[in-house]
Amino acid sequence: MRLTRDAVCADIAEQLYMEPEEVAASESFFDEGLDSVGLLTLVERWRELGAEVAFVDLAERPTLDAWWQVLARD
Amino acid sequence: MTELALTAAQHGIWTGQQLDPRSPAYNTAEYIEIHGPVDVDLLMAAIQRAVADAEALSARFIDTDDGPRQILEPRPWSVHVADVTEQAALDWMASDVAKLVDLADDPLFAHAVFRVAEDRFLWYHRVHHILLDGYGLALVARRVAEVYTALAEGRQPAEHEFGTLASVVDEDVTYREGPLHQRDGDFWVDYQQTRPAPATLAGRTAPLARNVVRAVADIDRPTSDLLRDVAKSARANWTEVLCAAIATYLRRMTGAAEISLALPVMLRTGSVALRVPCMVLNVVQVWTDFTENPSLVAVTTQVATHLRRSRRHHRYRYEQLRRDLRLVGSQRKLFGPSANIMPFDYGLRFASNPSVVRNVSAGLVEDLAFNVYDRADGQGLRIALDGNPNLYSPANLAAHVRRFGVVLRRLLELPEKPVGEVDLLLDDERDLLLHKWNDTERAWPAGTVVDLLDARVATTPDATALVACDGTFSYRELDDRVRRLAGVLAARGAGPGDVVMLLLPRTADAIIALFAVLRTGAAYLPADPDYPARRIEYLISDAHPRLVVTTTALGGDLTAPTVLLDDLDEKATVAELPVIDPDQPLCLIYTSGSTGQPKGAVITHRAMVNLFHHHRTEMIASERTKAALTASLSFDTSWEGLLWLLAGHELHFVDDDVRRDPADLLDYVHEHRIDFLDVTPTYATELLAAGLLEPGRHRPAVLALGGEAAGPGLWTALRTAPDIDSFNLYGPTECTVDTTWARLADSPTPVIGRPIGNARCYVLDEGQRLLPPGAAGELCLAGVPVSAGYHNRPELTAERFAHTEFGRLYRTGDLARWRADGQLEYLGRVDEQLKVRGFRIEPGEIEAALLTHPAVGQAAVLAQADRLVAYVVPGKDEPDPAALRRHLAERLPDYMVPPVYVTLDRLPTTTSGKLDRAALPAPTIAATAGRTPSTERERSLCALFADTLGLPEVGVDDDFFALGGHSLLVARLLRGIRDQFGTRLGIRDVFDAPTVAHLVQRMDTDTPVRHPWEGIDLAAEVRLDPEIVPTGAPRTGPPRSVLLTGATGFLGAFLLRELLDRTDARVHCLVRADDTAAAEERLRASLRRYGLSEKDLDRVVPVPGDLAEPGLGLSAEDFRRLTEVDVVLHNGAWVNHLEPYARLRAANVTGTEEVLRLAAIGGAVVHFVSTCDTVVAVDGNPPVLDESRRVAPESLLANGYIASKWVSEGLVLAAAERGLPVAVHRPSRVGGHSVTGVGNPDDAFWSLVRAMLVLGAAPDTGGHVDLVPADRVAAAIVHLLPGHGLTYHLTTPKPLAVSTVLNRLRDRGHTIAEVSATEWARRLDAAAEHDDSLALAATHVHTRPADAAVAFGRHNVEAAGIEFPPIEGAVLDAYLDHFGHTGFFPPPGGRP
Repeated sequence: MRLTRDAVCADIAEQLYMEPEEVAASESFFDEGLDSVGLLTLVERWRELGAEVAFVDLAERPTLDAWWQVLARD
Repeated sequence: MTELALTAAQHGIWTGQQLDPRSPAYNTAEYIEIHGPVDVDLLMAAIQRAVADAEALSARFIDTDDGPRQILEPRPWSVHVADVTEQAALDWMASDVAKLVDLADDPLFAHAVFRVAEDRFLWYHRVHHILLDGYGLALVARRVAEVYTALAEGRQPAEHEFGTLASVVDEDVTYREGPLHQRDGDFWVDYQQTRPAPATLAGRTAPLARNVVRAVADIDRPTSDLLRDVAKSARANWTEVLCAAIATYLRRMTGAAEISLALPVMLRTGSVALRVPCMVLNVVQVWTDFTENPSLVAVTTQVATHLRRSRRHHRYRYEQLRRDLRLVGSQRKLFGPSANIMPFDYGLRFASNPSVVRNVSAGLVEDLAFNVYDRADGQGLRIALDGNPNLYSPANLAAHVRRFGVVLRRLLELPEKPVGEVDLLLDDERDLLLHKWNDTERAWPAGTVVDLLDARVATTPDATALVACDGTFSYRELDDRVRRLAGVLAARGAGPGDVVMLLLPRTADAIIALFAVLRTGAAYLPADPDYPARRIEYLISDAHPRLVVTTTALGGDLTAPTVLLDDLDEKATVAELPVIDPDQPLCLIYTSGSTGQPKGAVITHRAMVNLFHHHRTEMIASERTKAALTASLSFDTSWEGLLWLLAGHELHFVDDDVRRDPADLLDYVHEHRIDFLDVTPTYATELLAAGLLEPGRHRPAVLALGGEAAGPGLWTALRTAPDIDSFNLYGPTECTVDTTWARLADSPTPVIGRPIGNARCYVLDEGQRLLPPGAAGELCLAGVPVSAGYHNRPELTAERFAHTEFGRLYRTGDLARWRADGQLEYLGRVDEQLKVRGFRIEPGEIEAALLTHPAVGQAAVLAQADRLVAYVVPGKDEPDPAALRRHLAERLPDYMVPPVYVTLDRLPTTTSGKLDRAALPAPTIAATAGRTPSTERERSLCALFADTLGLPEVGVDDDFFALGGHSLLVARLLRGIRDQFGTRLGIRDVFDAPTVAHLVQRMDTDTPVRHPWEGIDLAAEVRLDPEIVPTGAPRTGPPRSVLLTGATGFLGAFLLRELLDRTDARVHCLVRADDTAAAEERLRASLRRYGLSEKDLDRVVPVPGDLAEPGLGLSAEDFRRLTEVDVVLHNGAWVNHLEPYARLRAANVTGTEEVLRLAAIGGAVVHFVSTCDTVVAVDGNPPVLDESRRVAPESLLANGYIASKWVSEGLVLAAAERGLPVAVHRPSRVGGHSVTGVGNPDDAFWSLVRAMLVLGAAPDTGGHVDLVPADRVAAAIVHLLPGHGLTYHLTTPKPLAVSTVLNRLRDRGHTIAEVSATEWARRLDAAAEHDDSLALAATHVHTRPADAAVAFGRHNVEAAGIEFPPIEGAVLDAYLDHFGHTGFFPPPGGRP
């Protein structure tokens, strides 16, 4: 897997048109305007980079820490 | 076992399925293609496990008093496994997805595993949408992969992490009962409220089908990369860009200002449903607005913004929204097409084997769905366009999806460009639209109409050019008058650059004047003498004619110099005539203006000559024929007839009375053998009903339709008719009469065809860009026919005539589209202009005129069916319809005066403040509250008026024309009066006495009504002139000469033939004709008409005469000569079962007396042809009706014709008593030739049979018909000459059962249901209201009872050795064949 935490943060920031610091501090990406389609887009991108993760895995706790936990699992 | 309520989403599916329980459309299915060696047993086990884990899959659904419930109860099931080719697997899947499942009993899912290769396996999964949506399917697929992987690696699969279905149901209930529900509902209702109906590519709605058609296109990797780039620049997700592109495509293809799309939303995040395989999918609406001509990026922003704002409210069910907006059960759709952009690959691995998911079916589609899937080979996206097969054919969809792919690429390449500028055409289409379909350049000689006239006069100077009520003119004679008048006009100042108005009655002078104006170089302006004075004044003030050519009667108060044709100074100066340039104006024709004032289109010589050459090439006959001009000269369509005149054909300028009555016009066409007619489709329909295509009647070789849209019924009737070539011609006045043309035979459905020579057609969108074939847009015309513009109206001209990349265009305001074969279809108007019965009307012009009346504050005018309705909001006073009608009649032509007025408090408007025409109520009140009828006749006539005018009621003093009556309705009224009252009135009568009160007076002074011989003592009518006594010895021996009357009638033709074939006699035929030659021609025509040979006519002596006249209309010399015949075969009579006795008397009774007089002088034997109806009594009959029977006159059938025959028989019997040798023949119903079947279509019985075929039903009364073939009757009669002293019943011993006829017709494929007699009569009456060809049958049903069940005594015929064949079998087939071939009977399975 070629993902790094910073890269993940940058992807989210790009998706939500936010700053990386804001992304790290966010308590819920859904509150920032992330929707299912947006999440699916991110999932697809990360899978392309080798992560084995599904929508379901990320949808429940939409914070950077929770997501890095899931993504780094492998 | 668990029982649960349904989720809201499931409820929506449940309700949908109940509407069509046998539809498989709710099955969704996909398959996963696994690459690599798969252990099928393990896969099956994994599938079984996953299904067991997903409890929603075990549901079945039952209906209870509390609504539907689901019972979760696992049942055994198995996976279908097969080793097959990929195609066989796909075929299996296609058939499986169409399986019907019963929600209460059947398993609602299925699985299959196909081994299509050693390392390729397909796992197919079908599930009813009520169980799972797409996300749910994905959860199950993931679980299968997880379990398989564990099993394949020898591990125990982990426990599933699915939540319960019950938790989802509970969450639903909480939402529905909570405060957010109302808030969300309000949001969507508010969003939807003021929106228009969603636009679709099909342009219409249709019921749901049970299947879906699909067309697929792939989007390559570079394009999908571009998609993501544009998304970035728009700060949106690429799915939103794609959504915007779909909306843009719809916008460009439909022209709608706002586009609605339906987006499915998953609703899984923030919900317990995140981990439950179930059905919670909802659909939300996205509107995009194109009025500011946005770019793709701007549209994307609209989409993204809306989705962001609305996201919180996505849970609100769309089914509920539909109920909130009261759209349930209405035709109106809630959403536009769907955009299902869920292209995410599951990317599942089965052990180490990768897989790809492929969709098989996404479920039912109401209209259109754009489904976008990831091709998952890293190569891009796939678009699967699903359509409702009731709206789209597979070819349609394939074209759309291909075009969408191309347009998407073009949009993405220039995302900041206004979307209105993107090209919609595929490469080959541009060539088609610009070149191939507009390849109309023709090198025809240019010139002027005057040149055409000169050439024609030089070529055939002595041929008849014009036939009018006031004279017939050869080309030379016509042109002499034209030149002379032109000289006078020129001397009075008319010349190039001038306008000369023509205000003339419909005589040859009008046409002479028209050409005379052209010769002076001026343009003519035709004004109809029926126009109100104000309108004529307006035309004068707008056009400033140099002169007005008119008559003393019409030219009274005009404010322009007049030339009075009936007061021309014989010695007036003539001036020289100029040479004319083709680009000079030919005429100025005014059409209705939208702001109130009519505008004059200027047509040039060049354009008219171009039309001449086109018509000459395609439509005008090459051999000289006769053409009729029925249009008013104030319409440009009058040039159709004039062009035929210039092409060398004899033009009949048909007068007003004849041209306005379809029956009279057809008589004229028949009598004069007219071979060209140009009429509107409305009028053509009337002509069809009046018998245009009746067999035996001459029909024009060429029929041109124009002026309004032709309906499919008329189209089919004309195109399938033999011996008539029909054309549809389209063109606004601004483009010189016709700009497109079509031959009806070239298309099964109505089209306006292709551009004429040197014309070009373009279908453009609002931005004047080319639309692809099949897309609807404004039809714009270019080329030679396009006018220079409007007289005196530079701004209006600039508005309608535009200079574009296609040349100088006229924007017609008509909607049209190209068909794949390069013909154009007309689709209606872009704006409000109306066509009523072929008249072009701008409601604005009528509204403006209404507004000048003080009682009118606001006005709106609509067309409803064939009639104008005016809606008025009161102004200073209360509006009175009669006063408004008068007010308008003083300002507008009669066809523009609405007959119906509705008063409203306010005019309904749309949210944007524009008049909402669709919301104007249909008028319910009667147009009048006049004096009510006081007598029975007044009541009946008032009802007839009301019925003809389409009004609920009519008062006794109401003016027929004021109530909306026009000339076509007058004809209908007259037919109704004739049928109901037996009185024949003329159009003049209705013009002179247009109210019920006056008309009744007029009718009372005419012949008696009701009973056919009311007020007449029939017995007293049998009075033979005492001078008629035999003077010589009776003739004996075979007849050497015979006088035959009625030789041109049906039986008469057969009698003539028989006399010529069977005897050596010379046959003198009494024929109504001007002279011997004409009489002979009538005899020949009659023989031809019935398929009889014309040989031996040298033994025939045609004698022009008239039974109704004293002395048979013969000179004393001729009368005396005829007394020398051996036999008089008196067959002639006026046969008409509707006329009263009094009108038939002269021909039938007096004529018989004259015949007896003639015969008595020379001793000739008289054989009189009567009818067996004279011995049938209405008040009871003996079992056998003897030949010697004679009934009392009061017992006769109530039929004027039969009465006249009864009286005639009386005269013949009286003559017999005085010693004259006579014989009487009483045939029953005379049918067609026993071998050829050629017969008489006027026969009442056959017209009833025809009515049964048309209605597809027959009365169950059965009955019989006594039919004897004409050739056999004629043979019998001639055989019996010159015997005398007996009466013969020429009837059949075995009458034909009506059921036999009907069964024979059923054998031939006709559908004839049996209904009760009353029901049949009711249906016939109802149908006869709209179809005059059935009116005849309807009248027969009511006035002539079915052949009574009587037996005719046949002693004398049997003694004479005469036999008639039974009709069933070969003879009946011959009859049915004949009626089928001539088109008298409709074809089996089709309506006429």
